[in-house]
Parts: sequence; C-alpha cells; structure tokens
Amino acid sequence: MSSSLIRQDLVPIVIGYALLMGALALGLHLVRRSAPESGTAEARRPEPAHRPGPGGPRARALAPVPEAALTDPGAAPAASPARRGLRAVIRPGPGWPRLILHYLGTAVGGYLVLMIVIILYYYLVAPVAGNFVQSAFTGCAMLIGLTAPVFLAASWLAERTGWRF
Amino acid sequence: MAQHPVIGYFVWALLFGALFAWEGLALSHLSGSVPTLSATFRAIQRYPFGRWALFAVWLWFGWHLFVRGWHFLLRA
Repeated sequence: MSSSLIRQDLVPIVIGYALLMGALALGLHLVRRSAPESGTAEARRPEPAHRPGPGGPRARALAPVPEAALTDPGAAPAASPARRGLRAVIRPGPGWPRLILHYLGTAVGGYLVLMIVIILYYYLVAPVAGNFVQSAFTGCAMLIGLTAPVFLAASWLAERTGWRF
Repeated sequence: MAQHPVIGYFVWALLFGALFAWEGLALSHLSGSVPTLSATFRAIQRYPFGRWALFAVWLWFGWHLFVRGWHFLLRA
C-alpha cells in the first residue's frame, strides 16, 4: 500500500473514526457516571425540589436565616453586594439574559475550539491547499452571525406561541 | 474527481452502518444499558466543554456544507 494512499484514505478515516468513537465513549462514560450520582442525590434529598405550597423554593428563599447560621463562625460569609452583582451578571436569572449568555458562551467556545482544531490540523496533519484557515475563520463566523438571529427568533416564537420545534 | 480505491468507500459505509446499527440497538430497548445518540448528546451537553465540542462539530459540518467552495450567486 503506497504512502499516498495511506495519507489520502486511511488517515481521514482513522481520524473520523477516532473522533466519532471518542465522542460516543465520552457520552457513555458520562451517562454511566451520572446515573449513580443522581441516585445518591435523590436518596439524600428529603423532599422534591419543585414542591408547591408553603414549603416551595420561593418560600424557602424568603424564609428567615437561622440564627445559628448568622453566629456560626464556620459558616460561609454572606456575599458582598459587588460579588452578588458579579454573580448576577455571570449567572443571571431565568429568562432572555440567561439564554443569550448561554448561547454566546456556547457559540464563542465552540468557535474557538474549532479554530484550534483547524489550526492544529493544518499545521500538524495536512496543509490543505487554498485559503483553508482564512475560510474557516471567516466562514464559521459568518455561519454564527447568520444562525444567531434565526435561533433567537425561533426561541422567541416558541416562547410566545408555545410551538415546539 | 479523484479516483479512490473501493475499500475507502467501503470503510466509510461500514462506519456509518455500525453507527446506525448501534443507534437501532439502543432504540430497540433490547439492551437496556445502551444509550441512544440523543441521550449521549444530552449527557455531553451538561458540561461546557461538551457543548463547545458539539457546537464546533455542527459548525464544521455547516462550514463544509454551505461555505467552502461556495460563491455568491452572480459572481463569475
């Protein structure tokens, strides 16, 4: 088998196979690991999280802090207003700000991961002819720019009309 | 179009066949411990890096399908 045949046919197949099987193995591992964790968490939890009525999460949030927690020196200190504001920015409440932040984090993170992979592939595996890297940077950014408004509009429609896509 | 040996196409067909066979086995509930592809994706998406990786795969796929080698409609 010639070396060009190995480079052209076998290497992409092996890389694709490794990526696919790696993702599947990771998913399987995560599923198996999360199953016992969720079981022990359920066993530890004395009551359901979404129980309506006076014992619900809103009532618990409004309940007064026990005095022992205020006087206990080992207890965690209350967050300062600045830290609370930073936390509200980093992890806002449910709604559009959280959705947009979640989307932006995923899009930027995924874009950067892909660019790193493409650069490593270009310089370490196969220097693809043409403007491969430049096209990857601009083309993927264009795809994100095109799909973001569609995604947000679809989310708005689903929220407003109750449609499920 | 470049000529490739048939074995290369055969291996791709085998890989995709194995993927769909595995998914079919998971959906058939014959084996209760095999997660479906969607369950696997849900598990991966619990973690930020998993979401980034999946988004990168989606982006890579879309880039190859819609952007690479594509020109504006009226461009010579």
